[in-house]
Amino acid sequence: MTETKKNNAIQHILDDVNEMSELILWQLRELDNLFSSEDLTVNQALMDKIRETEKRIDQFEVKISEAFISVVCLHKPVASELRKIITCYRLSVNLERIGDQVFKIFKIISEIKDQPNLIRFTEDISHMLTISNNMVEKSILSFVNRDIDNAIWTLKNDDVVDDINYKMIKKIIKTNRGQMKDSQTMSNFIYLKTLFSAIERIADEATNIAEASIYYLKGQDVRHSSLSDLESSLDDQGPVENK
Amino acid sequence: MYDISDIKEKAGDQIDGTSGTSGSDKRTEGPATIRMETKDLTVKYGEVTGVRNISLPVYNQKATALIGPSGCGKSTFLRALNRMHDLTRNAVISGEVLLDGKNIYHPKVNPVVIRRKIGMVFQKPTPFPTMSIFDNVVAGLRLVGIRDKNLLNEVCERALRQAALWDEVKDRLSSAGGSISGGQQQRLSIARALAIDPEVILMDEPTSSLDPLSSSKIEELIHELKEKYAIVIVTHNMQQAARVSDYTAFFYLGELVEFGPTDQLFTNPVHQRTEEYLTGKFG
Repeated sequence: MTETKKNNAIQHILDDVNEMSELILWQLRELDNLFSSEDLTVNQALMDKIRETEKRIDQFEVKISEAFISVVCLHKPVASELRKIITCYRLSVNLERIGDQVFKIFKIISEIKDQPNLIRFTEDISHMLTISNNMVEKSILSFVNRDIDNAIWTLKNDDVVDDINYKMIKKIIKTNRGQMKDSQTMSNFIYLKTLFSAIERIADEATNIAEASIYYLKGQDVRHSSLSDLESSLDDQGPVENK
Repeated sequence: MYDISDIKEKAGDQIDGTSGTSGSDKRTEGPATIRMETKDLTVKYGEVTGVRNISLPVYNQKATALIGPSGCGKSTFLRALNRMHDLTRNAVISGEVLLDGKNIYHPKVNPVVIRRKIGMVFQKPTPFPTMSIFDNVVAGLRLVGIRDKNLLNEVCERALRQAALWDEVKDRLSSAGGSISGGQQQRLSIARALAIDPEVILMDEPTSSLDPLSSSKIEELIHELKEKYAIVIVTHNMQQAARVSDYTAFFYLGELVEFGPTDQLFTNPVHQRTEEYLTGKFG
């Protein structure tokens, strides 16, 4: 009886994480669609939907946090169950932050959609966004499908996105050299830089999710580890056990 | 001022006919030294095997928890650690149980000496109910012929303080052991075990008959005692095992399935059986 209650409580948390993930992935798809469109116009209906989704994501974060505390207090989970709900909690925190960044990107684009700088860099933004979105999707899949390869793929791409971000900022500065004399140009530069940083932040959060997923699958805390150390330590442990 | 080594000297405290290193000396060696060790320990009751080929270290100044479903052999194993099966008619022991490297089942070893070195606290408090609190604590010392009143007074106070009971009973040491609460009686049982200055303390579900507050006091006590002693505790309460122990051994069907640092075993067990037991899939 108690076991059933515990299993149900953990399943509810998993269901909520899945639903929260779906909302984030929907937001990211909309963002992707936006950059594939002709004119980068964020219509009011879409903005309202993004805002509404953002609120639901925030609510999920609070709900999952409360359910996590409840399961720990009432059922005292251990072993893979403990790792599972800790990972769910970490996922909820990181997903909520991704939601914040997506909302921020939509707002920035609404502000500067006609600016030449944005139009000039649309392709680069879209490229960076594609990688970040894939990272989010694969990091979530690594947890849901217990697939460590997706988590490692995500971790490997964190540096790729960081590198693109660094190069893009340099490129923007180079492109606008000598033109940052008026406040409008400065403002646009800051908006654009914030936009790239937000995408880079999304990739960071995906990396956090991948690390949490590895903790669930392997019981190993790989935060702040180098990629080479990580891969060799995971090799040492053999294949993921189906727990 | 009396030293506890006096007691051992008077009691002829020897294993294998040679003077053992005193417990006090051993305790300065460091936190991760092995105090006891079993090697291929098997206990049989007639044709029935209680535990099979158990090899397990018991570290000094650490608490080791034995967990597993009912009938898995954890209490059988615990009792083998201080030769309690000697009194069971059809019990047959094979393998070795080493205390400081010496086999306690060696024919020359006196089991009474072993039980003084390796104290036991049982599931239910076991004070002598009509005997005074004082007499309960020093009963073990009197059994080995110690009559010095000053020494008995000193040991009684020290043991009761170690068992976190002194402040509660110091004004009524002549009251009957059965007149205090269940939690206090269990701590009195622990004080009695400590009075003979053991090197290892075995605890067989020491809090299972106690209320949560008394249980919590015993757990705090275990934390304090493990600074000085090696402790082995059998418990059905997995949260208790996780709270009080440094190492945990999981037994199943008379075999040792997994042994390791408690935090590791409870968050990332290696064996599927351990995982299933911890998460309530069976047991």
